[in-house]
This record gives sequence, C-alpha cells and structure tokens, in this order.
Amino acid sequence: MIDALFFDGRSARLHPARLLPSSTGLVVSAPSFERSYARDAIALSEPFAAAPAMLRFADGASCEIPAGEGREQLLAALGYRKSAVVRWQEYWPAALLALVLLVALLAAAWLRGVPWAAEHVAARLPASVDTRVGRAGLASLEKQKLIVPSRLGAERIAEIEALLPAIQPAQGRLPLRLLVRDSPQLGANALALPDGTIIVTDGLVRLALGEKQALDDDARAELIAVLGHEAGHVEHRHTVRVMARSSLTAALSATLFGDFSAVAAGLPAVLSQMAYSREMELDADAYAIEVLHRRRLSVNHFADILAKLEKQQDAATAKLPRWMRNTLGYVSTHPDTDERIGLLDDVAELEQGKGDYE
Amino acid sequence: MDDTQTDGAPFASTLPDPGTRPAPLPLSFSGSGAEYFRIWIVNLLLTVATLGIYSAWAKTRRLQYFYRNTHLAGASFDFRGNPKAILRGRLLAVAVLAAYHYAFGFSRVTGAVIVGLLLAGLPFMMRSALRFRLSNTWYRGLPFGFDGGIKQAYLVYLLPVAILVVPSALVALAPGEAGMLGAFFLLYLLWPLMHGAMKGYQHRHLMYGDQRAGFPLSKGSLAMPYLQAFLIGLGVGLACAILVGVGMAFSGTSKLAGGLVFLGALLVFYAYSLLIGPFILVRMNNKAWSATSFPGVGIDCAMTVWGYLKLQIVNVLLTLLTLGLFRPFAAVRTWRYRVEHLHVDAPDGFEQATRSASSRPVAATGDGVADFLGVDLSW
Repeated sequence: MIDALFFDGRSARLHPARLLPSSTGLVVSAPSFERSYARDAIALSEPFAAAPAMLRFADGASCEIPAGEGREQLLAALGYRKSAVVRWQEYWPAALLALVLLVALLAAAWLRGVPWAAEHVAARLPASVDTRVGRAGLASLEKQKLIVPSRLGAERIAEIEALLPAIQPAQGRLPLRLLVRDSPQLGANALALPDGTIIVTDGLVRLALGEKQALDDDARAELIAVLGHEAGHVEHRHTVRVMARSSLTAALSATLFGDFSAVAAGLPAVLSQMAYSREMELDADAYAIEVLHRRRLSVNHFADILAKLEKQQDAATAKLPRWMRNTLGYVSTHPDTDERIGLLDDVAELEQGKGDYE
Repeated sequence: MDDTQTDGAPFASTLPDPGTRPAPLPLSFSGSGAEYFRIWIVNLLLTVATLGIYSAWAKTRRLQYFYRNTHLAGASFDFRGNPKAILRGRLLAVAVLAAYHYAFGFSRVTGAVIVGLLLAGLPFMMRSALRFRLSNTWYRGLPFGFDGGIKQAYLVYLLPVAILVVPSALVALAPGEAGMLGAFFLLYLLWPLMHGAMKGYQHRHLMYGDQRAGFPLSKGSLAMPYLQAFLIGLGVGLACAILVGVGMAFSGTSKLAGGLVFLGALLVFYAYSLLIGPFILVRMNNKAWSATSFPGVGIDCAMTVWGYLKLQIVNVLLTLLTLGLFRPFAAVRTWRYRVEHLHVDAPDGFEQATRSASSRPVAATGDGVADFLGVDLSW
C-alpha cells in the first residue's frame, strides 16, 4: 500500500488516495470512492529519481506516486519493467560508456561515414549540377576580377588552345574547354571548373615558355602535364565530390549542435573552406601521367613545371576561396610539392627502363 | 482502507480563513544536473546512432524529465506527447528547411515558390506547434491548451517570418538591389512590436482544462522593455559622451589619458550590449507571465536581470570549458531558475480555484494536423 495522488481526468481536483496492488491489477481508494483497474488498463511510464511516477488509466484518470519507499515494488507488481534505455542511463558507468561510444561514433562518421556517403550522393547528382557549379564559379571569378582577358597575342592563345585535343580523352565524361586568361592575383596558375572548363593563366603560359618565350617541345609537354592534371579533376568529378562531402560534414555538425539552421549559416563558409583531398590531387597527378604517356612524353616535364611553380609561389592566391585555390594543387602544400615531384621522379625511373619517352 | 488518511494539508484548504490571504505558492524543481546528464548523453548517442530518428523520443524523455520534476501545490506537470508525431513533424521541418536552402540552387521560380510556401505555411506551423506543446502538457489530470485562431496567427507571425525569409530571397532574386533590401531592413525597427505581438498571442490564448487565461496586456505594453533598453542606452551614450568630453578637457593633449577615456567609454558600451539581451528577455518574460491569470489564480514571475545574466555567463563559460559536457547541467540550472522565480497566487485558495477547472469537451481539443504532425519548432 502506498500513498499517491489521484486525478479523475474530468476535473483538476486532487484526491489523496492509497494504492493497493491486487491479483488482477490495482485498487485506488480515496475517502470518497474506491476504484479498481485491471492491469491492462494501466499505462506505466519511466519513473525519474525525484519525480513522481505517473500512472495513466484507460478511463482518462491518472495517478502520481511520489518518489520514495515502496514505489519500485508497486510498479514491479503492476508489471513495469525498465526499458534497456532507462537501465542504461541509470547506471553511471554505462552512461559514461555512452560518452565514449558517442565520441567514437562521431569520429567514425567524420572520417569514414561522411566520405562514403558523399561518394554515393555525388554519384547520384546529375551532370547538370557540374555544369551549373562550373558556370557559377566562372561567373564569380570574372566578377571578382580574379581572371581578366588574356594579354597574350591571339596567335599564342590559339597555339595554347590547340593543345586541348592532346588531353581530351576519347570518351571523356564532359567535353573540355580551355580558357587562357590573365590574372595578376593568381600569378602562374591553372584551375579546373566542374563543367569541363580549364583555365590557365598568362603567368603559367609564360612560365612554361621559359626564358626564350617560345612554345618548343618542352613547353608544350609541360603545359600538357598541367592541363592533364586539371582534366583529371574534371574527369574524376572532384569538385562535386568535395561539395557533397562538405555539405554532409556541415549537416553532421549541425545535427551535433542541435540546430539545423547552422547548415544554412554555415554552408557558404564550408564551401569556401573546402579543398581537394590529398588523394584527389594524387589522382589528378596520375591522370596527368597517363595523358603524358599517351603522348609518349616523360613525366619529367611534369616535375619540371611543378618545380618552376614552386619557385614562383605567389602569396596573392590567398585572395581565392580555398577550394579554388587548391584546385591548382601546385602551389598548395597539400600534398607537398616536393613529395609529388618525388613520386614523379619514381615514375621517371620506370620510364628510363622502357626508354621510349621523350 | 482506513480513515486515518493524510488529508494532503496544503491542497485541501477548502475554506479560506476570512482576512488571511494564502501566501503565493512557489513552483519547485526536483531534478538534478547529474541525473539529467545521464539521460542527455544516452539520448545524444542514440540520436546520432539512428541518424536523428531517435531525437523525437529523446525530446519526449527530456520534456518528461523536466515537467515531472516540476511541482506546484503538491502535484507535478507531465508531458504526454507522442514521439511518433514529433518525428513526423521533424521530418517535415527538415524537408522544408532543405527545400529552402537548395531552392534557389534549382531555379528562381522554385526558389520563389518555396519562399511563398514558407510564408504561407510557417504561421500555421507556429500555431500548430503551440497547440501541440500545450495540449500535451498536463497538470492534475488535465491538459493545458491553446485556442489562438488561425487568422490571428497570420496577423502575428507573417511579418516576423517575412523578415526572416525574404531578405535572402531578395538577394537571390534581385542581386544588387540594395535599395529594396535596405527598405526591407527598415522593418526590423518594428521588431519590438512584432515580438510583443507574438508574446501576447502565446499568452492570451492559453488554456488549462476548459479555462481560458486572462491576459490584459497589449503588444505595445509588452514591447516596453525594448523602449526602456533603448532609453537606457541613450542615457549611457550621453553619459559616455560627457565623460569623454570632460576627460578630453582635463587631459588636454595627453594621448594616454585620451586613450584611457576612450577605452572606458568602449567598455561601458560593451557592457551595455552584453546586458541588453538578458534585460529584454527577463523583463518581457516577467511582464507576460505576471499578466497571465486563470480564474481564481494569478501568476507572478520575478526573475532578475542580474541573476539571469550571472546564470547564463556561468553556463556559457562552463559549457565552453567542458567542450559541451556542461550543457545538461546548464539546462537544469536555467530551468530551475525560471521555475523558482514563478509563483502562483490564489486568493481564495489554490485547491478551491482548481476545482472549477474541468476537462474540455472532446470536439474542442482536436487539431488534426498538429496532433498528427507534432509540429514542434523548438529543438
């Protein structure tokens, strides 16, 4: 028998009552009435340590059983079994284990789950997304005057553009388009937009042409290497994959902090922070090597232009949003240019063995 | 059953002594940060592990924890919302937000349509959220409720929703039209009145059982704390200007003294901007709750700006220092502070007053959409 408060569900009147478990259920007795409820007419809910346990009866009445002696036994007699979740959180070590599991789960989601899901999302995005993002990216570069019309002669530009067929794969994902543009701010650089537009700057062209400023075989091969790397980004759809990954990361962090509006606030910021991963840069390098080898050209040309770029490294690229800046790859430390040159040298040694690369 | 039952002394004073007014009844909270921490961490883990699905159940359990540990006159509150309804509401909310974020990515027309839908739908959802939350809050076997009309919901919420949603839409639809955007931002000057109107709508239509709340305040009166804050700001600004002027006059050309005076003025301004938010929140809350009454029962809310500010400063600092682990403790502290600064005043005795409340006729309780969707805009 236990003291409780009874409410009939029709008025707010509080009836002090006593509860007595019976063989079929529960008897509620108050000074002015006595009611009995069958066990299946009683809904029990989770009792908290210092809060009353709430019983709800099928007829709309309810009961509050204050915390204290005898409550557990009464609930047990009525057939209440703590759910696994309740037992879990009542037990400190288990609750702390939840903390550990949470951290592990988040780390796993961050490092594995997000990239995995992003690949699936990106694979399902239609090609029109690439086109839109590419166009928008180009428009914003032009609007910010990060790229301006080239100051090279029309003939030179035509010569550079004539290199495009060399890198356009037979069955490419998208037709490539090459733009030569001047960019005082980007210096010697190249970038790939997801719609297949590859931009090379006047600075890069001059760097490849070298002291003589002539488009000789070496200069041609170096430009093909750079264009091949950018074509690799396009062909492997790196921009859209990175965007999918960044968006998912933002959504995950917003879920963590319990506020979806953070996705709204954070998305532009996230997009400006996104960068190609190390793997993506190496993928693009591998693609460039393929392009070179198809033309029977040595990867040494690629290593040469990387080394030149490294020297020219221009602090002005800081003005670009990071995801565009890293599109260039060469000037970023991600992955380290020296490391990339080292890898290319390894490939060059293999070429030596075959001996038919220029 | 024997007759020596305890009479439940505080609740059963059916006949008030003439001349002696019963003291206001306090609300109290029996929860603890340590207990809630365990609930919170398990809730969080399960929410993350189920990609957010469990969050509806987590929310139910959180509200049950806070409500059931809140006591008034011997009885406790309870939350009886259906987690599945909350889940449906959340899926809807996520869909709407996602549509909003990516709308302009698809096309301008899609964007405009989504913004239009938001404008048309959000006021209704706000009202549904109030209905869902209140009709699932129970005390002494009766639910609270909300009977604010749909028309009023649009009158009250359309403008605030518009100033939330439209500026970004304008940026997307008419980039570079700074004038239009600027004109729109002028509407923010009306924010105090909008806030007052929302607060008034929320309180004026409260119900407990079949009883309607009385709420005599107008939106202008509710917005008064904004005016007070503005006037205080004006006074502070003036005082700073005088201080700087006097400082300049005395310090002459000394750069150091001039710098110190400037720094002092800056500090005063910083303190003002830090205090202003809690000031308005506390004053408005006090005003709104103290003006709310039910037949025979008055409410008194007496939070203090300084007390609330101290509470929140500690909460924020400790939450940062513990990388978020203090959050459940902070939630308990805030809830306790709010609860313990509420009193209920029943001149003829609380028990007497509650006896006049009875359940609403069933027909009046249903709001299909809200009950089905469990739209609840708070997280």
